[in-house]
Amino acid sequence: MLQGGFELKIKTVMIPDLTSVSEETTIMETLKILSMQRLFGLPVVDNEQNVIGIITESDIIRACLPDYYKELQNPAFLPDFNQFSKQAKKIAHLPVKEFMNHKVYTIEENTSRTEAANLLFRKNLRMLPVVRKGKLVGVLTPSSLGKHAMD
Amino acid sequence: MSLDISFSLDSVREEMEKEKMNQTIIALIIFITTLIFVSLEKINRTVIVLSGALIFILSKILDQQEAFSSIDFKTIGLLTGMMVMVSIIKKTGLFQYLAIKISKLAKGNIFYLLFSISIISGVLSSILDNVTTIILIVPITLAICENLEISPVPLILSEIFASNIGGTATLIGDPPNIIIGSAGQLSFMDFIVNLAPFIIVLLILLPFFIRLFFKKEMSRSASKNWQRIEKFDEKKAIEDPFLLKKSLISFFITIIVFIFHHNLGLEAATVALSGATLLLLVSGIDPADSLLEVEWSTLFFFMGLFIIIAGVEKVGIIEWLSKKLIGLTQENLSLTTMVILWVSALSCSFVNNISYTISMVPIIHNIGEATSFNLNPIWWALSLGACLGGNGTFIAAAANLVGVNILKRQGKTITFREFSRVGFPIMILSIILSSAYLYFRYLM
Repeated sequence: MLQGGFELKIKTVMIPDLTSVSEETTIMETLKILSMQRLFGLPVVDNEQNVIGIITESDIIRACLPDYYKELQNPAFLPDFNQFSKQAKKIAHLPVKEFMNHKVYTIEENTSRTEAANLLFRKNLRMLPVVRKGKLVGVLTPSSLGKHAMD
Repeated sequence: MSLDISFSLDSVREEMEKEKMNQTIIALIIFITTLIFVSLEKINRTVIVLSGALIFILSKILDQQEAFSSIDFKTIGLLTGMMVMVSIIKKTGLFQYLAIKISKLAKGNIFYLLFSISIISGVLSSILDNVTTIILIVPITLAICENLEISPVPLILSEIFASNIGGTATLIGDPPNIIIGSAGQLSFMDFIVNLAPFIIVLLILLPFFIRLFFKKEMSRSASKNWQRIEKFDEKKAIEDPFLLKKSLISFFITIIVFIFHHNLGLEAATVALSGATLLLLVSGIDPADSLLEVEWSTLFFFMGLFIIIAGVEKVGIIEWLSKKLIGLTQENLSLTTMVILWVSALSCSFVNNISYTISMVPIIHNIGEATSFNLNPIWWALSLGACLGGNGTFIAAAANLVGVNILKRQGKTITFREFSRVGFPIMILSIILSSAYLYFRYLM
């Protein structure tokens, strides 16, 4: 990695955490993992650890709202009929694949930190799965990247 | 020697004739290709018409001066002014407030709910564009239906039809009317006096007609969960009461000026742009934000179309068509009016009513020059046909597509066939009634 100076690659600053879910994991289990690990999102992987999607807390919150909420300009006029918990119970046992983002940004472990920071910033990402030839090897968050740089 | 000169003059004339013939063919090809591509919807329609307009200029059928002066900036100005005003008033939450308030009047009866929500859609659509009306009212209807545990389909279809019908009532309700108002020198009040009374009748009849198609849905009772709807707090829909007060006053002033714009010697476009300026001034909203909500793509679609039609007109196609039409109807005003009404309605069930109306305007002008007709009934026939035709199929009007798409996102798919099963008879019935109205009011 010494090409005209020392440049740190993502693999040295990423969190080497392989916590992930499969497409078939239920939303309830996913939520349990998220709250246990204090993560914002989880990579979704197939049997060969290839990253095929991502599921985040926002995806789950969105899924817990009734469909018509998303169409309303301002749903403030609606009283609380417990729609949230009704919908949440409805989706608890559904698989991740119904709510995950199939379009997922990943980053190769040999990418430079600047490029990773740029991607996190441009796409407004809160986490970025790090891969080696498509297979999950860790995750990168803005704080892991920033903390490492400032130390 | 003299023979020679006349020969060369003849050849010049022949050359010119040939050139003109070529131009006519090129113009026809551009026009028809543009129409086909616009209806295929594979490429953005604005890009298509702008390309068509450009080809007219590059092939020298129109010089640049002619092209630019063919754009009707009165139409563009009126559209822009209304778009800015609506973008600001929309933020206040007023329209949701009205929709909820009116829906509550139904008191648990599904037919009353259908009735009230159709009327408010029609009324809103007469001052807003149809798509905005649908985007505002359909989500509220979904919320109501979900809580009442009833099917939203009949209500939402009725709202779509009502928005197309209601838009016909005023100069600012639907783009064809804006084009017709500018082309025929017809004022805001002309539309109110001539079209609104008839449109109100159609709007009242609509829910009864919808009920015939959805007997099962309408016979259900909604009183069980009605107290939930009673709990809807419409006051919370008002997002900014202070902005609401300021913008309502400005909007009210604008409407008053609209009513008298003809007497004041003001163009409708001038009034709309003044209203927009006044609203920007009192609301303190950054024009950059408001102007972002203006549908520039639609405005450029209009501009491209105006240029294309000017090209088609210049090569004589429009004149030829008008002569055919006059010949066909034997210079009979009643017959001409009816032909325009029915052809417009049937065409606009399939093609976009903006391009259709812009094409028809020069034809009607030509008819006016060639005959001694009072053109007013013909303009009203064009307006009724172009606007009400929009109910025929779901591809006919943007409001239909938007409404059907919102339903689709809720997991309720309405097919082309299902839409037309209700929409086409409604369109035909409204055109039969329009024929009777035009005949008894203007032609008898």
